Amino acid sequence: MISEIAWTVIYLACLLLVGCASIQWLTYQPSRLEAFGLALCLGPCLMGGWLILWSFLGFTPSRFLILSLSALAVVSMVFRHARGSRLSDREATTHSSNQLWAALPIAAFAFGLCFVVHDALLVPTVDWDAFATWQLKAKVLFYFPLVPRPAYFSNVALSYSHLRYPILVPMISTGSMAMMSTDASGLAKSPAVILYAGLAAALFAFVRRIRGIQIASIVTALFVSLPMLVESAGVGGAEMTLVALYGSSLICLLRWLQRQRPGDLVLAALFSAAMMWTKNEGIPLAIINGLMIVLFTPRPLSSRNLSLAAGFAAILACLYLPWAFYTRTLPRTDEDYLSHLSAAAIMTNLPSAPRILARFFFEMIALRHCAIFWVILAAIQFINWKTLRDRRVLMIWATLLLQIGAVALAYMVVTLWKRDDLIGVSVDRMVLHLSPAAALLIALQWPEAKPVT
Amino acid sequence: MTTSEALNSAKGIALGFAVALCIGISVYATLNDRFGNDRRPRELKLYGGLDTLFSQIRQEQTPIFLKFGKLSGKDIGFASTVYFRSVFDMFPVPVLVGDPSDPIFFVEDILRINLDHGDDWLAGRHVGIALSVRLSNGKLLMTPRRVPAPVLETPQGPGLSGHTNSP
Repeated sequence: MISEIAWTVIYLACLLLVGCASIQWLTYQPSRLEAFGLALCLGPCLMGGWLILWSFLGFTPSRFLILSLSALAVVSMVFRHARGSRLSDREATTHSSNQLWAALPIAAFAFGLCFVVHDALLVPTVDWDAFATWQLKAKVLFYFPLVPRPAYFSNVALSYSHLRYPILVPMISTGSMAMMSTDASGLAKSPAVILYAGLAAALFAFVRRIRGIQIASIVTALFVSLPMLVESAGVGGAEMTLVALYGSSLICLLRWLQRQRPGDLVLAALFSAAMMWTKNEGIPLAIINGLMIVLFTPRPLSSRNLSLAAGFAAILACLYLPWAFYTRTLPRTDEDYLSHLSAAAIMTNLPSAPRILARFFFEMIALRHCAIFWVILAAIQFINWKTLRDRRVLMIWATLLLQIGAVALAYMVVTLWKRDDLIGVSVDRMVLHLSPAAALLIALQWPEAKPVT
Repeated sequence: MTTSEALNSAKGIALGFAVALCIGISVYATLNDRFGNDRRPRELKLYGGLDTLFSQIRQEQTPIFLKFGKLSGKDIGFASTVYFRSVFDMFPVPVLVGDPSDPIFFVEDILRINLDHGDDWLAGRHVGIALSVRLSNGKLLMTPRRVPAPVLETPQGPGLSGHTNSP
């Protein structure tokens, strides 16, 4: 057991190293904490991608593969450091800097982290989705490379595990199994801990930079203590990963809007592609992110912007096509929304739309999952309606509404499930996926404190 | 203090109260979910028991067949719980509940194909252990049975030799 814990710690350190090395190369980082947070979210994706690449080449994940990428990361960091790091804390904010505010998100984060660590490290995988789908796939990838194709992917008796679901989250867990040399440990869920920490750090640092420490503290504390997030982060499913990647991609898009640095766009594209490899719900999220680049940059039809948007789309396509190609012949015995999505099916099921949207609304005000997080967003929007003129606020609202529309469409064309049953078991997660966007909206619109004179 | 300043102060107090309320509800909801009911201890106990059993069976490296007793009402959920958990625990050793070519997505799919099969059918699919699973007074009872090795027919005559699925 001690060696398993030690190998898990080494694996988490490898994920961090890979993330830090990559983030240094990709774009200018205005704050160390923001870079650290984004690195924590990016590291697991890159490690998962590296292991998937080797799995396509016929090799199962191993310590050698993991440590070799980590060694490359170390070399890259040394080289980058020698050239002069772009990490900087010099971009000072003009906002109030009462550091005591930081105690609030730290306390909320510590509270949430206790439960995430408990679920991820101390108990077996007991979440239904986690062991029936994600951690089962992790075991498949631990024993068999993707080429030649394992029998699992054609075994219709295992259709309940969603044979064609993307494999980034399982592969990140498989990396942990490979380091421990066993598939029998609940520690394979451990990467969730750094994703939770990464998103918290990135959100706090980003909002602190644009709105000051007071608003950053409030928003981060609200977000990291969300019951649904704390409940689902460490259980071994894909929710934490998708939420962390989506939050990171939105932060990168907002940075792009602010500074127009191509590096931010590359980072947003990487996070978006990773979302597509995480869950099917990540596909519309990634496409919506691409749309936002076209619609909300200052000069949308300039040749520079169009070429950057095309570059974003190309990164998504290049990174996702291998999985689309790999799964094209797999049995479609589970719910397959995309193939049912037609104008006729949508028109037929249009009367169900109000009911679906109502279920979304009631989930957003469900105290046991979301507390009054969404109510606060509505209140802030009501108080500060003039902020809708802000391009950044409009962009996040657009992503939020488009994503709700995309999920509603999927619910409308459902065939295998009874619609109400499916909504009942999944709408809480759909709302959770949207929560980083809501957190950023609250951050962008929170009223500035005006001192009373 | 002007009206506008008073309004700003009121807004600040209301927002501060909303933040405190939101974090308070979040903390309460999380603690209540963890400690306010016995769902988690029950889950841990159930899955712990299943994990122990299936990890022992896994050492035999032989495919197993699960046969569920009569389940009805809310109890049918046990079939998917036991099947999904056994597949997770036993992987890569196969677990069967019916013909492997039948798709399983919902618990009803399991119960529809989960028929009584003779030893020849089981042995033909290399099943070494058949596990009878039933509920009795809310308790999950599982009875394993070894499937006899199939009788091989040789040119000299039937029944002279056979093979076992166990390693």
